[in-house]
Amino acid sequence: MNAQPSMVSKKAPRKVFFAANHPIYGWLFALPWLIGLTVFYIYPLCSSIVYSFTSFNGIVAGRFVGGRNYADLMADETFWIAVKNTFVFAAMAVPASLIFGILVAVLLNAKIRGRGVYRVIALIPTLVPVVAVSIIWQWLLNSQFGLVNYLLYRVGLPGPPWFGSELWAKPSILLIVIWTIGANILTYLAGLQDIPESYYEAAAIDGAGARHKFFRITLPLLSPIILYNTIMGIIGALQQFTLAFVITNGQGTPANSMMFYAMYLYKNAFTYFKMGTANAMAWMMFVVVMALTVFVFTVSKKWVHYMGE
Amino acid sequence: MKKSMKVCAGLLIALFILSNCLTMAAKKPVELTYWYPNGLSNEQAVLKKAVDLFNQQNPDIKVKGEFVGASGSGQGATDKLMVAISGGNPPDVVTFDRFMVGQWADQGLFENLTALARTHKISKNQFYDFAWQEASYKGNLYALPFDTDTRALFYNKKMFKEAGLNPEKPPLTIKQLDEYAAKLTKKEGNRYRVIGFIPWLQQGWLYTWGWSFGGRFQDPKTGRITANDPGVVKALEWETTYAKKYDIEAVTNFATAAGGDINPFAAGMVAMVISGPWEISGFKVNAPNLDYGISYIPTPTGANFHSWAGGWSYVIPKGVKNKEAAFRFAKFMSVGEGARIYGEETTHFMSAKALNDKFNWFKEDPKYKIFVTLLPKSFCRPVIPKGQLLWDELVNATDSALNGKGTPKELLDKATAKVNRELGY
Repeated sequence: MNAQPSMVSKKAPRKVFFAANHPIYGWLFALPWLIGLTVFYIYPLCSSIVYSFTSFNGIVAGRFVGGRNYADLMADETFWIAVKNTFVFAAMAVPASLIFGILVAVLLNAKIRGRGVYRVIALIPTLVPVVAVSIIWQWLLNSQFGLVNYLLYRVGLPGPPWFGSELWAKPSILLIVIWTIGANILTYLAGLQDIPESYYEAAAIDGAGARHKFFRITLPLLSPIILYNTIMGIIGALQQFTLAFVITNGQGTPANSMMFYAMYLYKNAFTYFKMGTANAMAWMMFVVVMALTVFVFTVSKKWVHYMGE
Repeated sequence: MKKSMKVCAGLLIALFILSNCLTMAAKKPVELTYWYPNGLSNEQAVLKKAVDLFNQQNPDIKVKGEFVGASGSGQGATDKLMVAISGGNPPDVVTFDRFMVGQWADQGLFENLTALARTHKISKNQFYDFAWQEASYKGNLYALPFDTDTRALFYNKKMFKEAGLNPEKPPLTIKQLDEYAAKLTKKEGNRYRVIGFIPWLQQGWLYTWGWSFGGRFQDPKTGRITANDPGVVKALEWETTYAKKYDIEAVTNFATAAGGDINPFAAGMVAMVISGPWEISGFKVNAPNLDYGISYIPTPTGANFHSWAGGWSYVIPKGVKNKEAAFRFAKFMSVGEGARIYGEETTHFMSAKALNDKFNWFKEDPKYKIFVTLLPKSFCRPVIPKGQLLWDELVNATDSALNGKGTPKELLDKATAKVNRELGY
């Protein structure tokens, strides 16, 4: 009889091991995802840091070259042109899509007939694949044969050279980006509908006009969404690739004014066989995007108002 | 006894089955994957036809053609091919831009075909010089040349007549070219109706004019790049005079309109243009009333006419299982029946010299003749491991010079230094 308790005590840990609330089950259930994360995210991420210090050509692992890829980039004129272009573009695109996004969302939020139809129209451009968008606008904005300049010509306005000139190339891309702003509008619309009607009623009783209502109620209460769209906008603008790549056939013309950072990264990786350099560029981009995001977050505490706080 | 009999019988049966399997395996044709980037439907149709014909004639091989779309500067699916090779699962044979063969061979991405070419009796004298040069790298063969092209001056005869110029006397010297261009230009308000000539339109690359002005892009002895050669600099300086004379932005838009369905020459918006033989069949369909002639690319002296050629080729990526079978298909497409039907049905010139003057379209239309006289005199771009970089740098230098960002000399000095540094000089 003395043996009995000892047998139980031997079995006890096994019972605990198979207990339904044992932490191992959690890990087991998460395992497929964990393996995927490790193999497809963590490993490539880590290996790309390593590659950025080698002369890797994309196929044969190169030798270790220390910081030479980074140093070469610092001395590369095209690299700095690409950096400048990318930041200039982001400085134009982020505020522009913010302003236009809010403006269109407020208009679409007005209680007018056929509101649903207008909303659909605003969203339609986002359904077109980016490459198709590029090609459509390449034709629309062609200064000699394009529809836009034809219409301008008919009303007696001079047509800008659009993609043909250094001055107009980035604004042309900006125009396309604004055209495809539908997803932003959707988030702003959702935000607008979240603002209780009673705030506006109270403001109206206090004698506030439309402008006051917009700047004192709408904008502050929309600020969390503005923050979200600012961060996503910065990330998107800094990674601008497809539009310029398709429109300029990968050349970044005229006079390198459309050579964006991501495009130069692609060229290094796949046309010059400098995968090491491309990895170095990717990491520099990551650091900059991270720093900007952290900066925007820190500053945001001053101007973002969360409802219910 | 019985037991050993059983074992013997078992062994025999096993042997029988095994041998059957082996013969079956031997009878099963070798399967090859073939990638081509040709997006045009008529080219795809001919390639399919050629593949079917090859499969019929070679029952031991089964080629499976796959269209793999191009990305980037229209030079084929380079990024996809790179990923396929590094993933260890490359296609067996690929239609590849010949101009990049040197660069890829330098990285060890293609099989060396020298020995196979010898056993299959493929040799240098079957092809134009430039084609063989481009297909070779450091004395070894890495590609079998496919189609080719070369460049010449197209001019609109009707516009010549309207401007009081003799339509049978195209410009031969650069000076004549400038004069004619001015006479052929028509302006309407601040929009150009017709621009006589835009040097950089379509095939007017810096290579075109550099060679025309007697420049050389590479030192044949040292292999160093010489894109700042006085001839090339002079050519670019001459191009910038057009950028100044005609508004560069308006002109660039003529240039960006090129490609796709709109052809500014066929649309009557430019009176002269540098282009290639592929236009002739295109004009027949899209601009049947266009009255035009084709002449040499003008040079400063009005003599020593050259051109430059490019084209495609067949390569076998590193690591394929059936190099020999892949080579047989490449040979069929390079010098064999595949090349002949492709040339005949697409009106492309082929790099295999013997084929070109036998094509029906060549015999029927005298316009093609000038290209055949130019092909043996055509240059190819320098075969270096950084061919794409040199191309991009020349495009950038031209673009910057035309937009007034630096003088041609300093821009070309910079481009030359950059490429030579990358080449390790």
